[in-house]
Amino acid sequence: MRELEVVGGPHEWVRNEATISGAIVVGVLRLSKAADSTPRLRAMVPGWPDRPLCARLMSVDGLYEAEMDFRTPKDWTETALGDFKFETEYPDILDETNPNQLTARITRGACSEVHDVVEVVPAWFNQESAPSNSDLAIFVNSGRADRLYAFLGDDPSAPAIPCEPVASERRTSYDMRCDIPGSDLEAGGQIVELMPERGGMADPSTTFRVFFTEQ
Amino acid sequence: MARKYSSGWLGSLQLPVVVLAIVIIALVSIFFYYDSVPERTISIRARTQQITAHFAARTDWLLPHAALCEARLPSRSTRDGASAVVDAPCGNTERKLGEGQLSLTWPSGARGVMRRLGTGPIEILLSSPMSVEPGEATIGDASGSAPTISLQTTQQRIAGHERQRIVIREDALAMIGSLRLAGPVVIGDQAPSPDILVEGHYEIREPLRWRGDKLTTDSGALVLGDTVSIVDRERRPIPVSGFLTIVDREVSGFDVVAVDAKLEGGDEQLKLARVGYQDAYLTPHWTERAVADKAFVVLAAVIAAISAAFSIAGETISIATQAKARRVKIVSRAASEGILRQGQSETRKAEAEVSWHESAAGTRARRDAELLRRFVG
Repeated sequence: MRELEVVGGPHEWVRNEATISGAIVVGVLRLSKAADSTPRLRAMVPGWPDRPLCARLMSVDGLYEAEMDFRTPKDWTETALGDFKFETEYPDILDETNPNQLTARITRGACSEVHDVVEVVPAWFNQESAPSNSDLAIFVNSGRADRLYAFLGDDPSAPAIPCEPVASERRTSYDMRCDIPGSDLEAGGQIVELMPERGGMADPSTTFRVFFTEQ
Repeated sequence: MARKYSSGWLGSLQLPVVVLAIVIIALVSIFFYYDSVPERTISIRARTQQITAHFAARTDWLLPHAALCEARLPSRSTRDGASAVVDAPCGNTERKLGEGQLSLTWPSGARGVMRRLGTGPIEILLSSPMSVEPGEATIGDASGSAPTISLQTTQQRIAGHERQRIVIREDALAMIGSLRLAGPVVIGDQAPSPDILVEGHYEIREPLRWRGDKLTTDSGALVLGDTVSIVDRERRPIPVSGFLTIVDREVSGFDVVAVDAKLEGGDEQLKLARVGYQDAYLTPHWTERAVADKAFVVLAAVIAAISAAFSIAGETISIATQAKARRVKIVSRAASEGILRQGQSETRKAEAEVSWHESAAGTRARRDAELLRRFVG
C-alpha cells in the first residue's frame, strides 16, 4: 500500500442548511466490513503515474461535504492499493461507517475539472480493504425518481439492475443506492448507465465509467 | 419602650412577606395547572403535492375513473426503440392493466404515496419507495400488507405491488370526493424532491384540567417546502384520521386534512421539517396555554389588582406605624420633661420650706438664746 500525495485540501464544509448537490453520482464504494480506525479512504488505483485524483465526501443529509485533491507518484505504473490520507477537523462526523449516512467518491482529474463522463475509482471508505471481490454500491442523487436502474457495459442486452431507496430519513444529497455484485464487474474501465423513471416516464440517463480492479 | 417598637416592625414587614408568599403560591399553582394537559389534538390542513400515507386499519377507496399502470423492467433495446408507444395515461415505461371504475383496498399495515405535481393527474403509488422512516415497522400489521385492486371493467382482482401506479386523469379529479386517511401520514417531501407542500396551517387544541372546553394553544402557518407529521413523545409517527380531496383543480396539488386520532395521553407533537432549520417538534409551552386561557388573563388582572392594593395598604400602614412610633417617643419625652419640671418645682418648694423652717428655727433659737441670757444674766 502506498500513500498518495495531497495536493489540496481537505476543504470541509459543515452547514446548518443542506445545499442540494448538482452531482448525480455522489458515491461509489466497495463494501466489506467496518474499519478499526476512521477516517480511512483507500482505493485500488490503476497505473496512472503523476495524475490528479479528486476525492469527495458527502453526508446523506447534505450537511457535511469535503473535497480534496491528490496526485499519484511519478512511478505509479501499476495498479496498486492507494491510501488517500487526509486530516479532518470533524473526526466525529467522519466516524460514520454506514455508507447510507456518509459516502465517498474518487474521480480522475482535479476537483476543479468538469468532465462529460465522470471516471470513478471505487473506494473503501471507513471499510477494510481486504476482500478482493467486494461488492460495489453506487449512491445516486436521482431527484426523487420512482425507480432507478443500472446497466453495466454498453451491451444493449445487458440486464437492468434495480436500485433501492437509501435507508435514511433525510435523503438530501443522495436518495438511491444501486448494489452491484463484484462478480458482475469487469476489470478495467467499464461504463455504467443509470436510468431513472418517474411518473411512468423515462428520465434522461446518466453514464459514468468505473475502474474496478481486483486487489 | 422597646416592646412598643417591636410591634411597629411587625406591622411594616409582615405584610410584604404575606403578599410575596401568596404570589409565589399562585405562580406555582399556575405553573402546575398549565404545565400538563389531559389530552391534545393536533390538526393540519394543507395543500400539498405529496403525502405518504400508512394505513393502520383497512380502508376502501372507490375511484370512479382511474387507470392501473404497471412498470415494465426496462431493457436498453426497448427503451431506445419503443418509447414512442404510450398507453395514456400510463407512461412510456409502463403497460396499462385497465382503466375505469376502480376500487382500492388498503389493508392494515399498507403504505402508499399520493402525488399530484402541479395541476396534473393524481398518482397513487402502491408502496412508498420515497419514504423510509425509522420505526415505521411498528405500525399496523406488516404481514399481508399488499393492497387489492378491483377493476370494474374487466372484473379483475389484482394484488397490488410496488411496481404499480394508479393514475386519475385531470378531468376525473372532480369525481374523487374525499379519500379517507386512517393511519400515520407524512405531508410534503423534502427538497430536492419536487413533490413539496404548497401551503397550510396547523392548530394545537387542548382542554385544561377540570374544564371541558378546548383552547387553541398553538397554531401557525406551513410554508412552501415544509414536511409535517404527527408523532408521539418518542417521535414515532401516530395515526391520524382525515381525508384527501381536491377543492380547486386549477391550483397545484391537492388538499389534505389530518387530525390526530389518539384519544388520551396528550403527548402528541407536531414534527416540522423546514428548509434551513433542524427538525422541530412542536408542543405548546405552559405560558402559551396560560395566555390562551381567558380565565387566566382575568385571574392575572385580579392578582395584579390585589397585590397593588396590598402594596398601597402596606405602605399606608407602614407610614401610620412610623407616625405612631414617633408620637409615642414624643409623648414619653414630653412626659419625662413634665416630671422633671414638677420635680424642680417640688425641690424649690422644699427648699423654700427648708429655708422657711431654717429661718423659723433661727428666730426661735435667737429668742430662746435671748431668754436664756436674760435668765442667766
